[in-house]
Amino acid sequence: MTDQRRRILSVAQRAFESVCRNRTVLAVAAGYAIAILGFAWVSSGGGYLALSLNLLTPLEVLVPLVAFAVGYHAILGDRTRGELAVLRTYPLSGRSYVLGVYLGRLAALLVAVLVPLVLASGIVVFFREESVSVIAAHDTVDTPIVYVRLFVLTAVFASTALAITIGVSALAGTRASGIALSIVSLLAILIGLDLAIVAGLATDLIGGGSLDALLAVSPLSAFRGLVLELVAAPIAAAPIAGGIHPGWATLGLALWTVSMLAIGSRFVFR
Amino acid sequence: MRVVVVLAGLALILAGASLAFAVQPTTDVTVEPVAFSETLTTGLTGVDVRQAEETGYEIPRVEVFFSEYQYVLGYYGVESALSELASDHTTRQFGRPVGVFVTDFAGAGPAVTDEGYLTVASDPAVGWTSASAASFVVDSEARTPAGPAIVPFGDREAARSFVAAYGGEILQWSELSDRDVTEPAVEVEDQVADRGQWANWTVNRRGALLDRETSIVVGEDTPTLSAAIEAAPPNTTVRLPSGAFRVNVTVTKPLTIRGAGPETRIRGNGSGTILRLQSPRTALANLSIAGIGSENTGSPPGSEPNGSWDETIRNTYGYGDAGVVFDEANRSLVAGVDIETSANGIIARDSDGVVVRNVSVDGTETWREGFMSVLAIESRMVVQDSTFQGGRDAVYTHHADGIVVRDNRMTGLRFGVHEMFTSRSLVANNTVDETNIGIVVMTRPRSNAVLDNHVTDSGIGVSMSGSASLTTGNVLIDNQYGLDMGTQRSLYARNVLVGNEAGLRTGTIVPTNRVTENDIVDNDHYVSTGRGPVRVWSGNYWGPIPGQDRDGDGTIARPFRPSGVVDRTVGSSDGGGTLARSPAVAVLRQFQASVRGLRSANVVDDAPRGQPVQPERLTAASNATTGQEGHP
Amino acid sequence: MSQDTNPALELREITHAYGDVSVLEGVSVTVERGSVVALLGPNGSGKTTLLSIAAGLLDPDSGAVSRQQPGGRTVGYVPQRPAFRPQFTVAETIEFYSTLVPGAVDVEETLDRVGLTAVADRRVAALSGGMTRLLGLAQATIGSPPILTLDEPASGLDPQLRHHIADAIVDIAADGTAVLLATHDLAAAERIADEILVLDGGSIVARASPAQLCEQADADSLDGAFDEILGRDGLVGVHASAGGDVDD
Repeated sequence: MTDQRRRILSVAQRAFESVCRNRTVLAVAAGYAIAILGFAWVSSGGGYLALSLNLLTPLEVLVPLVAFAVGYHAILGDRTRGELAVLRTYPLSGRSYVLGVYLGRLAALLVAVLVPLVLASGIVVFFREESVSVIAAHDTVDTPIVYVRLFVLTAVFASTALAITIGVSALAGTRASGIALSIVSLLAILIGLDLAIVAGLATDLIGGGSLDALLAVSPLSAFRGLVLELVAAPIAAAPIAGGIHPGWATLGLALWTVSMLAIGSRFVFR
Repeated sequence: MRVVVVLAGLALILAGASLAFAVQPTTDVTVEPVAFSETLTTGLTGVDVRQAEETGYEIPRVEVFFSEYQYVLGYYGVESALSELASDHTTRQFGRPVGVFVTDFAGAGPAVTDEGYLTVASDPAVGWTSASAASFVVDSEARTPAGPAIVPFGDREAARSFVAAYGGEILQWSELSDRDVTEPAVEVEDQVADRGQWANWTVNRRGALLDRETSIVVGEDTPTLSAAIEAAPPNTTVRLPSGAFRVNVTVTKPLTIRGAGPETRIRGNGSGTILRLQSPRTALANLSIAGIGSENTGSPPGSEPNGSWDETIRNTYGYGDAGVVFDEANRSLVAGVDIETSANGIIARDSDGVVVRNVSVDGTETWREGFMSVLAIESRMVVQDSTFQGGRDAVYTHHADGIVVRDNRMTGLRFGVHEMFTSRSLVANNTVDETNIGIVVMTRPRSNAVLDNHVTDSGIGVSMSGSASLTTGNVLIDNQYGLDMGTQRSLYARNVLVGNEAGLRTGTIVPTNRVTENDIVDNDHYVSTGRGPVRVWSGNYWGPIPGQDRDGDGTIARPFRPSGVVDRTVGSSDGGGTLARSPAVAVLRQFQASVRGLRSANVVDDAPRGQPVQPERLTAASNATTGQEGHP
Repeated sequence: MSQDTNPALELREITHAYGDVSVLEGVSVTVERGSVVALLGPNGSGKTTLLSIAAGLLDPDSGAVSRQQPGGRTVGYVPQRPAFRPQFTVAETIEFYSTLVPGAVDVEETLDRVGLTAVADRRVAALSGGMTRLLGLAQATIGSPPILTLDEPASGLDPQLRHHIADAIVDIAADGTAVLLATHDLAAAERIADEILVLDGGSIVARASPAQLCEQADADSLDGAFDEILGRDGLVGVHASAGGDVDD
């Protein structure tokens, strides 16, 4: 057991360093950072809630993108190089390998995703609109708590997005068609599920009532719903609640994470 | 870097950050009442408040803390707070009220004076109490300068004894909210026609003063004008033929003094005022006046300080040198008079119903040297069809509620119309150019209407303040700022703004104005925003902007942000339009309309128009600006 | 079960097919400790498939595989074209793999065995094809597996490197490792193999030491013996560079 744990960490270390040494990934991470800071800058002068809401959609789009950049080649690369076959001759289980890769890449992904978020909060802190001193100001409902919540939810979302990417990467074949297929399936999970729900609503296949549970099936909607429910809804006056049960959404994200890693573990050394 | 360390660090940070889910963000922000002077005050007009303060009357006040707005709003008058809180616009703009405090008259020994004003026995015992716990007395004898007062008590017993003494009925805060409240600006729209009607009627009635029988002709019946005035019986006309007359007279009976035209030249000796009309129903017509003194201000002879709130202004501004001074001369008339002055033209003090029409006042070339062409103090008058050139302000009003200024031409002054402490006025159809400000309303009045004026080549076209006012149908061209909106709860509609450096300027940090159906085209900047949260406007035409009218209702589906970093370039660069269509920009805008109070100054038009509101007036305005330097 | 008496690797009656295409039909191979067995055969004869089964990368449709189980790593494997993460150095690569086996591994010694000490700090991306092959070989010895499988270890390399690799393999075998390799390189096979298995059409058509093989076929060299055994005029790929062909 300790041997397996040591091996998981070795694989994780290698995965982490691979990301750190990959210029393309670094460029994507830098692009993401610039984008987040840019979006934050545009909402400078506002509060944490405003910033959180402004960042929601960019995060929805960009975090899976960064997760893709960080994770897509993680296992597929080993497979195409033939290194996966070499690894199989070591006393290393598929589960340990996938878990190690996941942890290593996750460390890199979370640093890349979360550090710009911390920097973005600095824009609220340092570029707050100056108070008019002669007028009494009071605490508004705005609070850093909402932003910290967004921070945590983003980490959770990034973990899920990476798990999905790693899972797909583990399953992807080495041929061009296999690679294309895996990219398509990634897109389907990330965007297609939302579209499918919309289509279902449009054709009355899905009733509006089951929406709050169904939305949890789509990772993107689950994340969005969680942010609206747990970040915006508790304090905003205007109705911008997510309309999704936080429990369902969390469960949805957790299931995606665990099942994609499990599937990846099962089939990586096939 | 060891991945274990990074993972452990991340786990630690995220575990710590997860505590944010354990802490419930407080929607019930705890707020304590603050000194009323530290709130953003609104509600009653500046003059009402100053009068009340001066005389020691109490005005019930309300402090409201909003969930998404960091400043405390203070309302003079419970009803003004009620109307604000009832508005859906308020919730969208500021969030929910998280704390409402009202002045507590329990224990302060409230009483009502003979005039109906509220006084307290023990000032400053008036404290604050939570509105939800307070009892409110409505429909009692108590009133504020603006109308019936709602008097709050922290203690129900105190409310009962107040009702016993002064009548009325006790309601709770929640019951008050259900009472009918009309949007103030809508009220003004209804009143504008009445004001015009009153002006027509007044001008008509003053016309009769010119039909008085001639009793004396100067030069034939008497040698001088003063002798003629002395001799003439009341309600007759003294006629002045062509020629020059050295004059310095005071009229104390209802007479009409009528010349033969501009050739009838009344001349002063270069100091002091020339004609002092101190009787109701006096009239001055068809002559020209010159040789007026150059003292812009003065002081009333033998005046004693009387402690009134506006003493300084009355006594200095009202007693400068002028061509004509009305003093308690109600229902008088000046018509067809040309005045050349280096100080004031016409001063009216406490003279209601005075009509100034077809007058021409020629003031100083540099405004600092001269003063007001028409100066109205506590005088509800009509100024129309006149021409004002040079000097400080063409029409300056001080506490001249209900004044009507219309169809005049004003050129080369500091301000065209300058209203101080003046409510319920009508400023319509004036043409103003080359001023610092075309029309300016100051000192937080209410219910003013500025309609269909035409201001060009000025610093600011129209600058408004106060509340519940109407600024509609004005054409503002080639000014530095077209329209300066320093008001609250007011309406800006159907104005045409072309070729200004900035079309609109937002003023107060409390954004409660309605801005709609304006045509804002070819300005260097659409909007210049000050502090404060996002302002949401609707249905203006901003020229060609990104987006499409998908459903053919005349409205572009995409909201327009005239002050946004991207949209504001649309007017000046084609690239702006391309960039504005970028999905990244679309992403940014998605949530920007939410939690407005927590955002910084910005303007959103949530239903911009695809076509001009008033195409013909816009074309005319664009033609007028063509060829102007800097506005090709 | 005593390790001294049982062979390190034993494949019995191995049958395997990819869909309808039968690749191996009842192939049996035994590799004793310290001996080198070379699999020879034309393209498509099933060499790589058999090697994959021997290395445990592929489960046969039928037949039995028994390997010596030392408790740590069982099989070392060198793929036809070994490749490693290009951003890591040679030493880092070996270090990584070393952490996957129980016990400590002397990285320097591992590199020294294949002669890569001089480029230990060079990035994999900057290695030549031959050096990458050596790195693959070094990797295969990590954890001292009792069995070593190599797929075309020297194909497409210049003669000097081929000798280098052949010598390294002989050294490894001398330490008691059972070596199974698939090759086109008859000269190398002749020099290092204790036994040569000729695979054709999914079956073993000849099995002998190089010398026996020549004798049986009555040929002067292995080259000629090969032609004789396969009954063909010339052998596909013997002299050609077998660089790109993958025979599965």
